[in-house]
Parts: sequence; structure tokens; C-alpha cells
Amino acid sequence: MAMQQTPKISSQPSRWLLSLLLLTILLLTLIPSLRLLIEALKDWHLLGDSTFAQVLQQPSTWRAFSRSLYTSGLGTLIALCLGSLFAFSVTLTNIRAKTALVFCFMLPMMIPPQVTALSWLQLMGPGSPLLNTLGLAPALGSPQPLYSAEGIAMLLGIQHAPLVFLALRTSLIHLPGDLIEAARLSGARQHQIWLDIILPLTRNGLIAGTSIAFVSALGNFGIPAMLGIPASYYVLPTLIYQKMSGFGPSVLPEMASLSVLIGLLALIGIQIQQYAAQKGRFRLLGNSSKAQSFDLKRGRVGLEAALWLVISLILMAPLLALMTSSLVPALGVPLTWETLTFSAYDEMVSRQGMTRRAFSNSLLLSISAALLLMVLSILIANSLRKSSAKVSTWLLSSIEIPYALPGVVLAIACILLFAKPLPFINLALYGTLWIIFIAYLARFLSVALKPVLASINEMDPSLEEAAQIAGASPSRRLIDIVLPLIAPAVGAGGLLVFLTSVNELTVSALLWSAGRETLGVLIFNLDESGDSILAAAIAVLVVLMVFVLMMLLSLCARYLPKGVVPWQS
Amino acid sequence: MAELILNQVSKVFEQNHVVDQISLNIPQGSFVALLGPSGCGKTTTLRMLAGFETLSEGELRLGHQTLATAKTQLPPEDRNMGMVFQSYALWPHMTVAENVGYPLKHRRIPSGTYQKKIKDALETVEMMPYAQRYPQDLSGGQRQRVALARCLVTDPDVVLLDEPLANLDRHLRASMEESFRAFHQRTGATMIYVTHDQAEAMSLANQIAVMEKGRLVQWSSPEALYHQPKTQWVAEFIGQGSILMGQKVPENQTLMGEGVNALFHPTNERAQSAFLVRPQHVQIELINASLPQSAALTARVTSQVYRGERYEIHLEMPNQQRLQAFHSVAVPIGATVSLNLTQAWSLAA
Repeated sequence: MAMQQTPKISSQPSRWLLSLLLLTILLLTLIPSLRLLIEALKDWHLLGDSTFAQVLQQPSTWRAFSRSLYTSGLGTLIALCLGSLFAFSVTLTNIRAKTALVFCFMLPMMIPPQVTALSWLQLMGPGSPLLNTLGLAPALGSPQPLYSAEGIAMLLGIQHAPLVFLALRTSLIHLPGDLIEAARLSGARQHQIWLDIILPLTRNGLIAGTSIAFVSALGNFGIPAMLGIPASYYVLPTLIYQKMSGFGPSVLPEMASLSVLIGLLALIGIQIQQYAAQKGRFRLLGNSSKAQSFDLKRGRVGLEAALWLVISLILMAPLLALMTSSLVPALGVPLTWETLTFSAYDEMVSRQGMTRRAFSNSLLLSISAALLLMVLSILIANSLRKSSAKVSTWLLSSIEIPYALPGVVLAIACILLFAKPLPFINLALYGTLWIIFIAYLARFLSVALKPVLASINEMDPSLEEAAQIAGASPSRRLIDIVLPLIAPAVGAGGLLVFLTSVNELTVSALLWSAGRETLGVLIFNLDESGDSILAAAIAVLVVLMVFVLMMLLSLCARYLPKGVVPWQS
Repeated sequence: MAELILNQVSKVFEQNHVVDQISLNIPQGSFVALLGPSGCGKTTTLRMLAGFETLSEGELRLGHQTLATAKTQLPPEDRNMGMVFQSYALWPHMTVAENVGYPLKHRRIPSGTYQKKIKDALETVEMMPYAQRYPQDLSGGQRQRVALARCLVTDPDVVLLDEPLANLDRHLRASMEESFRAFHQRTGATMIYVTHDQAEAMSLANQIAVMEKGRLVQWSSPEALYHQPKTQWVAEFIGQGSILMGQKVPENQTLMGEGVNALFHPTNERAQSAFLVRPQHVQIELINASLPQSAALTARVTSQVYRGERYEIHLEMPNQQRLQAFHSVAVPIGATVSLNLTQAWSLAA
């Protein structure tokens, strides 16, 4: 019988496959960030005259920087209020219809930001078809209240409140009911339980959720673009976008410096989040007794009414406005039986070549990215499980970088990497769909990998060892044993990638070119050129698609490890 | 099929000797238990036998075939071994028959024989009626039997069992022990059984390897282990009993008869030896306090526990040495009793 000349256990996948995987991950994750850093710092020896120093000296940089901080900070505060209201209510009380409530609350996170912005724009201001229909519209000529810093902050808050909710709920679910029961037996009153038990134990969840919401708000492009650009209110991502579309590749070194700035800001937030999440996990893990639920008695109806009111304000009203807008012939026209028209949908389907192209581009990009990432994440998860803890921590954090960093940063990095034709093979990727595809792969690898990793770590290792004892080779074990068991998670990861990438705007806004539009870019461009009605019609379809996909994910939730489908407990 | 040899096998994790130079010659067809408290290295030893762990030093052989050394390693899939896991490790997406048949898929077996082998294996463990069920529809004991059948189907040279009864309740354990015994007799395979439960090891194995902190402390038959423990640690680990200090005698001797009591006489102040005294070798008798004391050895009753078939009496001798005895009726706490020790085993220092 053959002996292997290696002290390693032969269950290791072959060495070249592992190296190939490592190389792929490295290319996708670390290289873009490194390229960006090099570009920003390459003339550092000029000191005060270097690009980076000059960018730091420009007033526009600091204006955008402080506006970024202001809108994200205020948005995070709103997200914190909304998110903790829902997290505490859903996890700690006996209110009814929790699943529906959570689903509705999570929906804004899955709806792309440009659609959120568009629907809110349709809800407010003098041109709002909904307000006109109800006869509530402000006088013509009055300003759109959302074109302001506070408008941006409000929408950022609504969009990212689910992130706070998720982080907080994770620590609340792990808060065992008997801790609270013990406090009550010790004589603690309701408010003392909150101060002494619940808040201290969920503090880390709160910090983690707040910082991740801040980082996401900082990197958000769709909302400040749709609400800020018309009012010439630029935050860092939109400043980069504006300069790039105004001056083209000549300002790349400057943009790289700006990207590094915003990237650093995001990294600080991520560090805080990871630190808090790590600490929170250690403290409360391992106790799986039933979670606490306070009996609200008569207060229950009141809380339920309040929560559903919030839902109808932040979700239903804007969506209703969006729907109304898509059904009227022009802005400002009230919706009646006489004015009702499907012409926008008609135009979208039949006449607009760009619309069809954007749909097919986005579908092509997101489906192929989802499929490729599913395969990649199976291979990565399977080899990560067998590699040392050090290697896997290192790999996981590098995979996390392109997802956690603001999308603009990744987009600039990709432009830098692919602006010139690739060396040796002389292949030009800039201006093709490939550059967007590669950016999507880098950005969403983490989305696809997380569910698979959760599922494979949940798997009893002896299942595979039993197959090994039975005589199965590594590849057979992967196909016969591991794959069937993690299949639901792989599918869920793929769906999540599809869901996020099909509506993606931030990365493609900088990487698209004529004929290579994506769905996200389309809505943004239509709205920018004043064609809000058509944009609304497309947005309605997008929301419908998001809704259907989320329902699909909910249906397969019970075959998945806990936490893979974010809105299911 | 041949002797399984562990030669100076060691496993070092970060300078920690988890398994420290274990040497065993396991004859073909024997039923061996690796016994020890948790963390003693028994499971690591088993996983080295299976091929899931590498050796840091030493050598593993099956007859003339080398399974593993510190440098080379025959992969688990090529060792022709079977293993029953603590969690059973039945694949949830396969039926009972598919689970049992899976090892056959990796061996060249004609399809007619394939079905027959599965049937034979399932019949051996009386699980044929459940062939088309999925593991999650089975009870714990049934799952265990399927896991056994999966081992059986390829006629392995060695069957490894990793605490297979740990997840079962007491009644089921008894019947599963019977299944293992029958399985062993029927197949004649060498079986290596890891457990921390000495009663399980004693009732199943014909040779027991007792491990402590990675080392092999005793390798003997269950009877020898019980009556002639090599160290004080083994004596305290196996069965019930008390360690008493007494008059110096040669090591590792069974002492019986009249002379035993004299070893422990309170006036005895000379160089001392440690002795193992099993409770069934301690006879007690209540002393009437009004009568003059005639017995040489006495003790006071400190507590007692009712065990159903008898009472377990805890005693303290005047020189503060504690010991245990069995008695058929209850005795009052605090009472003084006379002792008669009928047998003792002198331990190595």
C-alpha cells in the first residue's frame, strides 16, 4: 500500500488546489486595497507636495469629511433608536406577529439605497403623486425637504437600523431568561433589571451594532447621491464619484487618497465592531435556556400599534408613494381612475433599449457571480476547516475587507488595477462588464462564504471521519458527505449574493460604461435626468423581486443554521 | 489479520505530551479497553490508530504492515478499520441501508454481493426492518446498532469504538454491551474500546490498558487490574476500596488470613507500606460498650449509605485512617465496631 511521505494527515486537499485557492482569495481581497494604498502614497517623498498632503489641504476634502461624519453620525443615532426599539420589543416581550414585524423591519436593508431614496422622494415634496392624490401636497415651488443633510441622515438611519437590530438581537437571544428570573427573585424591580442586568449584558451588542451601522452609513452611496447631489451637498463617496465623472482618470491619485481616508475611517469602525462582537460572544455563549419574555399585559396592544405605525411610516408609506408614482403619467398629477396608466411599465418593457440592457447586464453579473461564489465558498470553507486557526483567521479577515470597506474604495481600487491592459496577456478589462464582475466577486465573497462556513462548522466532524474510515477519498467525501449537508447554506449564500448584487449601485456607479449599465445605475441615471416616473416603475419591480427572494429565503430557513437568514430567529 | 503493535507511540501538542510512549502488543481477536479519566490521552491514542492524528514519535504496525511512524502515514481510508463514533456519525441524508452500504462503495464489490452484504450486516444487529428509514427516525440504541453494522460490513481487521455508550441511558447500555459482545464473538475482529467507565471496561474487555496523563500505567486482564493494581492511583481508580498504611512488607503481594489484622495494629509505628483493602474484605461487628474491648482493631462509624443489596459503611480508625466496609444491616452512626480484615494487597511505593 502506498505511504505518504508527509507527516500531515492525508485528508488534506491536494496542495496545489489549496495554493490556487489562497492565490484567488489574495488577488480578490488584498491586492486591490494594496494597489490603492500604493497609489495614494507613491509620491510620499514629496512630503507637503505629495498628492495625499494636497488632498488633505483642500477645503472640499474636509467639508465632505465633516459632512460624512455628520450624516453618518446622525443616521447612526436614528438607526440606534429604531433598531433597539425593535430588538428589545421583539426579543424581550410577548407581542404578537413577531415574524411579520421582523420581516417588514428588515426589508429596508435589503431594498437598494437608490430605491429607498427614490421612494422617499416620491413621498415628499410638491411633486409627490401620493400627496397630490391625497390633496396634501405642499405648494408648487416649495423645496423638497429631503434634499438636505438631515434628509440624508434620516434615510441612512432607516436603511441601517436593521444592522443595529441584528447585532442587538444576537446578544439578547443569548441572554438567558433565568438570569432575569434570578434578578427578580433577588428582589429587583423592572427598571433595576434593565439597568443592572439587561443593559450591561447587551452593551457589546449595542456597540457592535452601532459601529457597523456607522461604517455602512459612511460607505453608503445611493442615498447621499440621490439626495445630496441635487443640493450640491457632497459627502466623501459622492465627492469621489463627482470628481471621477467630472475629470476622469486624471484625478485617480487624488481619488486614491480620498479613498484611503474614508477607508481608514471605516476600518476604525470595523475594529470597534469586531472587538465588541468578540467580547460579547465570550460572555454569553453556552447558555441556551429559553429567552426572557416580559408579559406586557395591557401595554401589549399599545406597543404593537406603535411598532406597526413605525413600519407603516418607514416602509409602507414610501413604497406606496413609489407605486403611485409609477402609475401616473407625470409628476404632480394626482392618481385617479382617469389618470391611472401603465405607460411607464409599458415603456420599460417595450421601448427602452437601455432598460432591457441594464436588466440583462445585472442579471448576468449577479447570477454568474452568485454561482461562481457558491463554488468558491464550498472550496474555501472545506479547506478552511482543515487548516490551522491562524491561517483561517487571517484568511477570513482578508475576505472581509472588500465587503466592509465602502464600495467606492473598492471601485477606485479596481479602476487603478485594470485601467491599463493587464500585463503579459494584454487584456483590457476597463470599460467591460468584467471589471464589474471581478469587483462583485471581491465584494460579495464574504456574503456567500459566511452561511457556508456557519453550516460546515456546525457539522459534526465525525461524519466526515466516518466516511474516511469507510474508505472515501477527499473528493468523494466532499461530494458524498459534506456537500449534501451544507447544500441549503450554499444555496442561501448564493441567493443573498444575487439579492445584493443585482441591485448594486455603489461599485457599478464608478465602473459602468455606455452599454454596460446595471440596474442600480439605471434607476440612478433615470432619476438624475428627471425621468422619475420610469425610475419608479423599475424600482417597483426591484422591490417586488427583493420581496420574492426574501420570501424564498424564509422558506428554506429551517434547513439552515441559525442566523443565515437574517430576519428569522 | 494480525497482531496490532504500538511501539513507543507518543503525541506531543505544543510541548504537551498528550500520549507518552505507549507500547502495547494487541493480539488478533482480542477485545481491548483503553481506560482512564478524561484527558488521559485515550481518545488521542484511538485516533492515532484510526489515522486521524499523526504520531510525534514511535510506530504503529498491523502484523508486518506499518500503519504509521513519525514520518509516514497510511491514510485512514486505506487502513481497513471500522470505527463507531461517540456521536454515531450516521449520515443524515442517507437511509440506514445507504449508510451501511457506503464503505462497500469504496471497495470493488459486485452489485449482487453489495445488497447481500448490507442485508447480512443489518440482520446481525437486528435492524433489517429499518433499512429504508433515515437515522433521525431511529432511537439512540438503534442508531448505535446501525453504526455497528456499518463497521461490520467490510470485515475490518480492527474495530475502534470511541465511548460508544456515553450518550445512552443505563438500561440501553446493558443491552448494547450485550450487542458488542455478540458482535465480537461473531466477527473475531480486534476491538479497541475507549471508555472512562471502569465497569464498562471490566465487563467487555479481555485486556485493559489503564492510562493516566498520557502514560500507560497498567496493561492486564480485568481480574488482575481489580485484585493486583500496580499503583496507588490505579487502586483508587478501579473499584471501591481504601488505602491503609501498615507494617512494611514486600510490594505487590496479596496477603490473606489471620496475619492481615496485625499489619494495621495501632501500636505499629515502624516503616510503613500502603495497602489496598476492598470493602468486601472488611468484616465489622458492633461492640457492646459495657464489655471490655477484646478486639485488636476498632473503628468508629462516621456515615453509611444504603445501596439496596447492602449498606456501605464509612469508618474511621483511632489513628485517623479511613476505610469502607459492606454490611447487611444498618449500624448506628458514632458506634464503635471491631474490624476483621481478611485480605489486603500491598502497593508499590
